[in-house]
Amino acid sequence: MKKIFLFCFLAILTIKSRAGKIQVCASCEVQTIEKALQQAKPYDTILLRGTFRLDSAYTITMPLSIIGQQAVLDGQGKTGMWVIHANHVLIRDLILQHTGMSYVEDRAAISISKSNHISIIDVKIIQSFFGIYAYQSKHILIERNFFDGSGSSEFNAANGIHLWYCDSVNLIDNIVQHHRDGIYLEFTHNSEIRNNISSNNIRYGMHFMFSNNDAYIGNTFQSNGAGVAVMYSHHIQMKKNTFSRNHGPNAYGLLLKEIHDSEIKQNYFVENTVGIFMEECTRLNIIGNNIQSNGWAMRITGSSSNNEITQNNFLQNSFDVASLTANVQDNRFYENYWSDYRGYDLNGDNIGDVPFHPMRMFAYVVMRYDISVILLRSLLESLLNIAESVIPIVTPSKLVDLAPLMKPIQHD
Amino acid sequence: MRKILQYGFIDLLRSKWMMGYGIVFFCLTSTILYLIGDFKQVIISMMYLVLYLIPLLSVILGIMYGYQIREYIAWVLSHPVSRKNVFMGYYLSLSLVLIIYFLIGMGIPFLIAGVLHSTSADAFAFLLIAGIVLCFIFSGIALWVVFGFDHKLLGLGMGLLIWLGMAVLYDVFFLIAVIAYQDYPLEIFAIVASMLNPVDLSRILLIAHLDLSALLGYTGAVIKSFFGTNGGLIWICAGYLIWLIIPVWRYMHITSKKDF
Repeated sequence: MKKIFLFCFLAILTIKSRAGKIQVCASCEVQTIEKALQQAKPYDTILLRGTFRLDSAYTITMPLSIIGQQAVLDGQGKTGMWVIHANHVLIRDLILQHTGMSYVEDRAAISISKSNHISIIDVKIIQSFFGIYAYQSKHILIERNFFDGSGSSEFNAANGIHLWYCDSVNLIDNIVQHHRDGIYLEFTHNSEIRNNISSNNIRYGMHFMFSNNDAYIGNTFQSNGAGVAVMYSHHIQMKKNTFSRNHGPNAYGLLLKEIHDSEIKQNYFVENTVGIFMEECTRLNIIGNNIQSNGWAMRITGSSSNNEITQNNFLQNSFDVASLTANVQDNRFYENYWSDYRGYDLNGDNIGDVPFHPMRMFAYVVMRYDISVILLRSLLESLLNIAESVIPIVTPSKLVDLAPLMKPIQHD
Repeated sequence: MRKILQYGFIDLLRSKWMMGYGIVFFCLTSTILYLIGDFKQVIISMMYLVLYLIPLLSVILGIMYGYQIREYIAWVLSHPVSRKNVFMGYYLSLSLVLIIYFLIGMGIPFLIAGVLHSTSADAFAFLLIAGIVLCFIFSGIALWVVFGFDHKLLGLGMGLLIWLGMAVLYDVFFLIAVIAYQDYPLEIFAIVASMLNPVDLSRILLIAHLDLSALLGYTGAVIKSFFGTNGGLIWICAGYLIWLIIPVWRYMHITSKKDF
C-alpha cells in the first residue's frame, strides 16, 4: 500500500515538474505570444509582461495558464484577444482592450468554444464588443473581472458576459457596465451568479432565457436601460439581489416572462419604474422582498396564476399592484406590509382586521389613459380611490391581501 | 409702506386665527412625524396639506382679514398716503405672516426630527418652497376677491369656489379632456394645462421628486425631458413667477381705481 502511495506521489511530482514556465516580455528570450504558444506544452504557464499589440486573436488549443504581470493586450480596434478551444485553461491578471466592433463576427475579448474547465480571473476588459463569449462549454469560472463596454446604442454594443448553451458556470464578483446586456444567458443550466454588479448597461442588466436550475444571489442591478429580464425558464432562485433605479417606459426592476416553479426571496427593489412585472408566470414564491419607492411595485398580467406573494414590504410606491384583468387567477397575497394600508388591528396580533386592496382606481385610470399619470397625488386621485373603495366596479375584487401586516417586516 | 407693513404685520402676527393656523400645522406635522416616522412617507402626507390646506386656509383667513380691515383702509386712504403703498403693504404683511406661521408650524417639527440629515432633505426643501409660493399666490387671490366683491358672503363664497376649482374641478376637467381626446398626442397639453393652475404646478414640482419612477414610465419624449432633466424646473419657476404676478397685479389694478 505504501509503495502505491509513494508511486502516486512521485508520479504527481513528475507531472508537476513537467509544467514549465515561459516568460514573455520585450527583453525576454521569448518576445511574442505566438512564439510562446508554439513552444508551450500542455499545462505550461505563460507569463506576460508589457504591452502587446494584436493583429489577430491568439487561439489556445491545449491546457495552459496565461498569467499577466502588468500585461496589456491591445486589439487596436481590429480583433479580439483570446480564442479558447481547449480544456483546463486559466487566464488571469490581464488587461484586454480595444477589440473594436464587428457586425460580421461575434468579436469578443475572450471567446470560449466547446471547452470545459475554464477559469477567467482578475481580468480587466475595457472597450470591448463582447467581453466574454462562451458557447457549448461547461464548468466555467468567471471571477473578479471588470467589464467596461464602449457601446452607446443597442446596435453598436454587445453583451458583457455572453453564455450560450453552457452548463455549470460560476459568475462571481464581476463588475459589468456600458454593454448592451451586462450578463446574457441562453440555454445555460445549473449555474450560479453571485455578487456581481451590473450597471448602466444599454438594455438589460441581466438577460436570461431558456436557462433552468440557476441561482442568482446577492447581485446588484442598477440604472440599466430596462432592468433585468428572466424569460422562459424554470426552477430559478433569485435571492438577496438589489434592483435599483431602472427608469423608463419599458424599464422593469425584474421582468418575469413564462417563469415557473421559482423563488424570489429577500430581494430589494428600489426606485424602478416597475418593480416586478409578471407575465404568464406560474407557481412563483415571492417572499420577503422589500419593494420600495417604485413607480409600480408589481404589475401582473391575467395569465399569471398560482403565485404566492407574502411577507413582502411594499413601501412608498406610487402604485402598489396593478392588473388590468378582472380575474386574478389564484395569485395569493397575504401577510404583506403595505405602507398605504389604513386599517386597524383590534386583537393586537399584528394582522390588520380589514383586507387591503392594493389595486387602486387611479392605477386603473393611469393604465388606460397613461398621460393621466400627471394627476398623481392630486385630490382627484384620492377622491377616485375613495369612490372606488366604497363601490368597487373596475378594480379586480379578488386582488386582495386578506391579512395585511400592521408593521413592516425587518429583513436582514 | 414700511409703517403699513409693520403695523399690519404685527396686527396679524397677534391674531388668534393666524396663531391657530400655525398651531394646526405644528400639531398635524408632529403627529404625522410621530406616527409614521419615515421621512418620505411623511413628506407625501404633508404634501396633501401643503397643496390643498394652505390654499384653502390662505384664502379663508385672507378674506376674513380683508373684510375686517376694509373700512379701516378706507379711513387710512383719506390721509395723504400713496394708495399703492397701503395696498402693497397689506398684501405683503398678510402673505408674510401666513408664511411665517407655515414655516414655524411645519419646519420646526421636521428640523427637530432631523430631516436635514436624511435623504429626503431636497424633497423637504421643495415642500417648503411650494408652501411659500402658494401662500403668496393665494393671499393675493384673497385680497383681490375682497376688493372685487363688496359683499362679505359673496366674497367668501367666491374664494371657496376659486379654491375648489383649482384643487379639484380643474383636474376633473383635465381628466375628462384626457379621456375625450385620448387618440391625440396629449403630452404638451398635459404639461401646459398643469402649469396654468398653481396647485397643479406645485404638485408637479413635488411629484417630480417623489414619484419620478412612475412619471418616467410614460412613453413620451416631452415628459421624459421635462421630468428627467432640470429643464422642467425652469418651466416650473417661470410658471410660479407668472402666478406670483397675476393676482397681485389684478389686486393692485382693482384697488387703484376703486371708489370707496
